[in-house]
Amino acid sequence: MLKNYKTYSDSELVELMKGKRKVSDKAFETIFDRYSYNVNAYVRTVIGFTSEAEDIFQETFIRFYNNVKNGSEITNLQSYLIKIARNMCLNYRRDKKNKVEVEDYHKIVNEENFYANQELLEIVMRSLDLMDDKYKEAFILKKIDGLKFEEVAQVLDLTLEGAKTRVNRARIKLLEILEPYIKDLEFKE
Amino acid sequence: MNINELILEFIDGTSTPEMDKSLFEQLAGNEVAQQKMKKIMEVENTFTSNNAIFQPSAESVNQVFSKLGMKKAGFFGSLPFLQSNFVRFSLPAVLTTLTLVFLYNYFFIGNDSNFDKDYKVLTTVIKDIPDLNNKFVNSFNNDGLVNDELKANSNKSNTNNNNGYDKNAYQNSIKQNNIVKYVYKDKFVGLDSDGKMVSFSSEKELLNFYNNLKNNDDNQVVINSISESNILSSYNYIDKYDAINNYQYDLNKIIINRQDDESNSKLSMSLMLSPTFNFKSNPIQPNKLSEFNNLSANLIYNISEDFGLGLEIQQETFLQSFTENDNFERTIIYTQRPNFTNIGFAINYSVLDKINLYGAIGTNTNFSGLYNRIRIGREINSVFPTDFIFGLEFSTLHFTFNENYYNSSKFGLFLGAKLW
Repeated sequence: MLKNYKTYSDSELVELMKGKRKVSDKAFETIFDRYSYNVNAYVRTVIGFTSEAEDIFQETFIRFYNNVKNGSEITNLQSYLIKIARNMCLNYRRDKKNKVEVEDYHKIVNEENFYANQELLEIVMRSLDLMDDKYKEAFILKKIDGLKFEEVAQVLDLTLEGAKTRVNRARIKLLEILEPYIKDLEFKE
Repeated sequence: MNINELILEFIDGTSTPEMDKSLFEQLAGNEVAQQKMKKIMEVENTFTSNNAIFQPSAESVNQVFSKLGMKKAGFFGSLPFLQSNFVRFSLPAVLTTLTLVFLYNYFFIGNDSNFDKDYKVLTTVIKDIPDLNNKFVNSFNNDGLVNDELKANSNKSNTNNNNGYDKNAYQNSIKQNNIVKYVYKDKFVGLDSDGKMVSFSSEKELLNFYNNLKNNDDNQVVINSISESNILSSYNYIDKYDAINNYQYDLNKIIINRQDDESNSKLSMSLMLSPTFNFKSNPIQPNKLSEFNNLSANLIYNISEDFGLGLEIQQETFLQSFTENDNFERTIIYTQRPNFTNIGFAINYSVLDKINLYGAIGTNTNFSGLYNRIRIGREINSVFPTDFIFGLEFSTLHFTFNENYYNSSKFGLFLGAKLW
């Protein structure tokens, strides 16, 4: 009987990945389709639009694949993937002490994408870079990756209340940074 | 709880009715708070309204799968019925067979020096047929009656037998009709609905056979669709048969079933695939490529045999490059390759009937601008009900950005199938 893998839950797909190659590949592809956006969003926002971010994104899924094959138990798949990506991002930043270059960001955005409301997006992205890492990360997990507060807490090793407070502080801080830019945008309109 | 916290709880959908009440009371008399809420919502919506920015690039996706020894399936590959081995293995086999038949048809039949649009194979038959002097020819139309035109021809000619018609009549008739029936002196032979040889003991039986075909709509359709290549193979069969038997059965009658070309539909529909190449080279790939990319479908009303007018819908990417000066007077060059859906008009024109030269121009529109295309190619009559079209195309997209005019051009090949 042929099945539509999209109907499977995360835990079912992870179990299928432990089976025969054909089924395993299909299950992995379904997981990839489901969470590649979230992982990429996290990595891009933390590291920036660089080739290193591309490498981390790719390596996240390769590590996940190998971990499943080696029998790792996974309870919350999205948090698990983000955690792998986060560890690699932290290692990368610790080694390189790197910051997102505005020029790099411009280059990629201008070449690959053309979006409505792009000006505000660029300002928000730049404002995120001005925030402390802990707030920036909390904001990304909640507002870009769409994690629940419980999942944010799990990824950041915080209590539920702690995660909620950090996310909301991040949002207020972002708004404070953005205040003059938003006024400018309104003036131009 | 301050106004900021109330707004955030409200946006997250986690506020209690008491918190909502408190928020609305504060918003009611506070324009600054209203503005703040609006800004928070606007900022937080920025990512959802621009989510394509975080889609992984096609190259990155391919890297992940190739490093794991996999190949990512596209939309069609993810459809359950396409995952079966039968479809996976039989589909390429069917496509290969169709391609080979198409190529055979084009190179070994379509290129015949005596090529004539509708009667190309029949011309060959006439050229190779044994001497027809003193042979008798009858022609039957769909009613099973002797064709008047041929009768008139036969009356003018010299013939040794009042029951038949001479070679000239045979040649005239064979040029005017698509389906040939052969009858031997003491053995009446025709083609059945599958194009195979069928023997009859008498001419009457043969005529009954045709009348039955006429009364049966299904058979009538089949008879009308017997292809020219079937006729050729049938002739070859006769030729071999005669050679083996030292012509002990003289070919003495040929019965022709008239096929009316005027019955063709005025409407035609084509599907076309267009692998194209931009004049400007750039490695940019679209974030998400439609599975139907570079495919078009058109519905044409044929005003005459040579000229048709209709509608076309197409999906394809176009490389665009344009500039803008930012607030710091820096010039930013934008380069993108979006996936467009074009809708517009198409005009088809067959320039030279002899070689079926196919010309088409189209003017379409999409969200970016105006799109013009010209196609020149050849239409191939195939052994299938479907005809094929192939050739070269050139297209240009005209668009504006910040009141500046730009255009982008590309060329490519097209390969299409005319469905009816």
